[in-house]
Amino acid sequence: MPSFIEIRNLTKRYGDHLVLDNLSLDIEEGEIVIFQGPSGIGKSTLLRCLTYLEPFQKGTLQVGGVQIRAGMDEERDHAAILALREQLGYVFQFFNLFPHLTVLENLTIGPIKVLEIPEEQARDEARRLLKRVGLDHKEGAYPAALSGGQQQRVAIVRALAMQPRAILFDEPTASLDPEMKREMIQVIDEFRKDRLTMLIVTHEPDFAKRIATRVMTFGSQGRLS
Amino acid sequence: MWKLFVILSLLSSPLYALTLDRWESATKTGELRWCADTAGGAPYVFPDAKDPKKIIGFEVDLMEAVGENLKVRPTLVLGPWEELVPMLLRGDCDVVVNGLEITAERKKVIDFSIPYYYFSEQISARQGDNRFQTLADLRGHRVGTLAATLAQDMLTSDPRIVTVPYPSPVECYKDLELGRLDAVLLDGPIASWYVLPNPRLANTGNPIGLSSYGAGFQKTSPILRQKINESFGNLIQSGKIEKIYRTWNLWSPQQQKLFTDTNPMGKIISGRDGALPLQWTRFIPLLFRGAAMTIFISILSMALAILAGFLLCFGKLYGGRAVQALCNGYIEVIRGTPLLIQLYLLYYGLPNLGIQLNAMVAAILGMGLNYAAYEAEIYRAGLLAVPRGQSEAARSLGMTRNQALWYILLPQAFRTILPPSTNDFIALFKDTSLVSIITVAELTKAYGEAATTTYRFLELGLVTAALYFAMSYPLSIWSRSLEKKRHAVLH
Repeated sequence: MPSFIEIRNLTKRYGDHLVLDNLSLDIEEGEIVIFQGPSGIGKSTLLRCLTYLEPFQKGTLQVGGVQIRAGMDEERDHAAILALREQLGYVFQFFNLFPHLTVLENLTIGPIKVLEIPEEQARDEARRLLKRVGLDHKEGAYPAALSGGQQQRVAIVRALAMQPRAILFDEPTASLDPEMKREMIQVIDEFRKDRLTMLIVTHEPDFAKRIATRVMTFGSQGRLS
Repeated sequence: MWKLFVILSLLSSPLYALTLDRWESATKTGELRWCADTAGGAPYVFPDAKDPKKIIGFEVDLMEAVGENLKVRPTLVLGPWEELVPMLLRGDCDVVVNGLEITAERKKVIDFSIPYYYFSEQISARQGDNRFQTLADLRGHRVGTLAATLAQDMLTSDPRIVTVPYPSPVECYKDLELGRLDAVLLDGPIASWYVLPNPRLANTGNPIGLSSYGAGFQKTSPILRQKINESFGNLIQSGKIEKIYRTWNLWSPQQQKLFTDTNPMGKIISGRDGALPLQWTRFIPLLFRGAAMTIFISILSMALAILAGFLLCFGKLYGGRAVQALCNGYIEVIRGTPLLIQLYLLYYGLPNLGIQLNAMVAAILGMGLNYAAYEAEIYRAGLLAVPRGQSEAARSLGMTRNQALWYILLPQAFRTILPPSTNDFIALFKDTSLVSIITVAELTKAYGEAATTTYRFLELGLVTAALYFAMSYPLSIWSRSLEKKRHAVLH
């Protein structure tokens, strides 16, 4: 039986600069994998390629049965790329919340417009998620009015509102103080109960090791060990 | 000695010159400055087709003869026809000689010489169209004429005639040819010059009325007027004037009156002559109608500019290479050429390709398509100013490019776009004054008509400016409050 995520011979270049060199990797459902290594080594690029936010030059991806090849076009192959992204929630390093929408709207715009879930149902689901991260009192607030930690929790539940099978964290601790980092681990712990697969990119060696099922270290040219 | 110097310098100062009889300044400088407009055209005063630097015409010959007679050098001062009288009053020239009809209305402002030419008004229509024999036949039709002329007065005195005033006869007859006008009413010499050689046009009906041209003077120049009257008298009696008119094919039996009638009023058929003095306040409703037209054109052109601007912007940002090049080319060409030229091309140029737009459509298309180029660049800048992470976040949620654009990027760009876009609308609003050149009766055109009829440039100008300001200032306030709100939300 194939693994949940299969990366085969993935090669990513920025001009002459080789970032990921022929990388292959299998991840099973429910795993919590930490990718660590110095910044600029290609850890984030791997996550971006995995959701095809970044096209790559060579290789294939298979995520939950969806096949993605190098050179696919975002517009032409939208069906496949959408099927890929529906399984993978993405939490950006700087959150990228939508500043013109309230917290609740940030959570519901994806389910309503992409998954075409009825608005009422999307709102109920979003409120449940907000409650789980202790932000149910902030649903009417705009992102600019939230603290960094609160924004991150909104970013996490925005990804979860799409009911993904895996969630990808890009440097989740980069902009958090120690207190908020502890909160962050609690949030991750909370959603581990759902048997959610998690891929966490970090340059902090100690972060979340306690909950990780696997820790992978990036060496030069994207070689994993 | 120094007292004499002060007096001398006072004598030569421009302020004093205004009250000085222009004959004295003419004899002092040996130069008689007469003003005319070449756009008014042939056969009066116009550029020689063989050598456009040379100005010719029967009035040029007339003034040469006058100059010879009075031993002064005639110097031509050019200005727009409807501005000639204000130029005279300002002292830019000593005398106006340019088909200026002797009317009671003008006599309130300036003095006239004895008539130097008699003429009738002439209706012209397209070849084979015999509907228009008299003025009454023009009712319910679009009739072109020159702005600020006696012919215009005759037309506007009948409110059932749709009068369309033009700055020059060339465009006027061209629009008649193209069917944008049903008829043209103009002075006989103009109608003969432009219509007879044109196989598609014909003069119809009998000549209307009998009017005369005279030289115009400031009321403070009786001596100059006397000198020119004597000179005209000499030229008439000696047969010199007949010789000049014959070389221009302008001699007619009507001119016999030159020998008998020396009354500077002549005999005049005019709608307004003899009526009550024209009060400038009576033209304020005309200005308000013009203002309504200005608003109408502004709103429709802006709607077009927004629509076409977004299409251009999307084409430039997301189109294939060919679409991008096309949009880029359009934007650069439109921004690199004057709006005035674009309007001329749309209205007078396109008919050469068989595409004929009426004035209103040409005005709205011209303004809208011009401003679309500027709008497109504003929208593009606004969209590019939205952080990259926003579109990535939208895509990571599975949105298509269009969904991301519509739900995420545009609403954010909107706040950046709105203030410069509102400023553009204010600019467009004022630029609508340019469409007056293609005969659209908006506010500036209404002002021009009112002012050249009453010579109350100051009062009517202030009212017009006030109207423009009253319309654009609320927009400025709105734009500024939007900018403040934007800072409040995003910072």
